[in-house]
Amino acid sequence: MKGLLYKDLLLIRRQAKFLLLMLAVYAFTFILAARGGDPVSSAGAAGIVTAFAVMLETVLVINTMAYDESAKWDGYARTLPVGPGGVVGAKYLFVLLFSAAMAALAVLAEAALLRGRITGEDAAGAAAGAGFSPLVLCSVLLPFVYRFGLQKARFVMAAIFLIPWALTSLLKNLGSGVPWETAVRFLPLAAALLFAGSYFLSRRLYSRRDAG
Amino acid sequence: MRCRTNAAFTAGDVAGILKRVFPSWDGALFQKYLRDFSLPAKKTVRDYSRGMKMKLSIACALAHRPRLLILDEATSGLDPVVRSDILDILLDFIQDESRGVLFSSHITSDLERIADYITFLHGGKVVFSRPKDELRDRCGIVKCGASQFGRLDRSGFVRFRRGSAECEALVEDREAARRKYPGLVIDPAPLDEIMVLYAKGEQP
Repeated sequence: MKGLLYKDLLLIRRQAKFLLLMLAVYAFTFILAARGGDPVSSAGAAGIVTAFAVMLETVLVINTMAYDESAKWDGYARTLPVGPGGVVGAKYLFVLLFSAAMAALAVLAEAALLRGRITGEDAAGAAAGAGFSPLVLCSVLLPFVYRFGLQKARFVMAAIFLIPWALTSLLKNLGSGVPWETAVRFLPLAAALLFAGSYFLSRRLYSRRDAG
Repeated sequence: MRCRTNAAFTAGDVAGILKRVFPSWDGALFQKYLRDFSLPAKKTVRDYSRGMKMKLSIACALAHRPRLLILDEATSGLDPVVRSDILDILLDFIQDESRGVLFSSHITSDLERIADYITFLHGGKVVFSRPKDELRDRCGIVKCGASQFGRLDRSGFVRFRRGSAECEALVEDREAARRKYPGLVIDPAPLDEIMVLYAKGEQP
C-alpha cells in the first residue's frame, strides 16, 4: 500500500506548478476577503479555505485516478502483492493525508485571520471545515468511481458538489430547535463512519470489477 | 511481466514505487540492470523506445528476484539487436536452474534459441508439449514430388501436406525414415515447419 501511495504522491509532484498557482489564487482571494477584519469578512475568508480544500483534494484524487486509467494501471496493480484492500486503501489513505494537510492549512489561515489570538475552539472549527468537507465528499465520490469508472463518475461528482449546499439549506430549515452544539460534537464520528463505510464499499466494488 | 507504471515516471520513480511494494526488491540489482541495459534512470519512460520499455519491464521483474518469469510476447515488434539482448538476459536468468521462464511467442527462432520445452497451442488446444532438443534432434521433414509421394507408405508420417508439385511429411524419427526411404531428401525439421504441419497437415 505504501508503494501505491508513493505513486500517487509522485503523480501530484508532477502537478506542482498547477498546485502552486491554485494556492496563489486562493491565497490572494483569502487576503482580499479577510481585509475587512470584521466577522463577516472572516467568515468569508474561512469559506474560501474550505472551498480550496474541497476543490484541491477532489481534483487531485480524480487526477491520480485518471492517470491510473490512462496508464492502464489497474491491470498491473492486480498483479502486485497488495490485494484489493491495498489498492483501494492507498487511495483512501491519500484522501486522509490530504484532509489532514488541508485541516492544518485551515488552522494556519484561521490563526492569520485572528492575528494569532486563536483558541482551541477556533482551530477545531477551521480544521473541521477544511478537513472533513473534502473527506466527506471523497467518501461519497470514490465508491461511484469504483462502481461506474471515472468517466461516468464525473457526472456524479457534479451532483456531489451540491451536497454542502443542500445540507446548509436543510440545516437552515430545521431552525433553532436542533441542539447544534451537541450535534457538532458527533461530526467527527459521523465522518469517520462514513469514511470507513465508503472504504469497505469501494473495496468490495473494486474486487468485483474486471481487471482493466 | 509487463511494467504498466505511468509513462510520466522515470525508471528511478518506478524503482521507488516497486521497492515499497515488493519486500524482496533488490535496489542495487535494479541499478545494475539499468546500467547493463543502458537505460537512463532520469529519462521519463514515455521517452523510451519500445525495446527500452521492454528491457525496463524485465529489469523490474528481475529486481525482485523471482523464480519464475511469465513473459507474453516479450520480443515481438522489436528489432533483431534488442531481441537478441532480451534473449541473452533470459538465458542469463535461467543459468540458475532453480529459476524458469514461461515465454509465449510467435517468433519461433526465439524459441529455438532459448527454450528447453516447447508447448504448441493451436485453436485453443495443446497440440504438443515436448523437449525442444527432442524435436530438433529426432524429427524430420520428408520432401518429394507429388507422383513419388503417392507411392510411399505413409504409416510412419505424423502429418503430411500435398502440394501440386511438392509434398512434405513430418516424421518422428528422421534416421529411421532415412533407412525406410533411402532415395528421399529428409531434412531436420525446423520448429515453424513442425507447427505448420501439425496445424494444417493431414493425418495419415
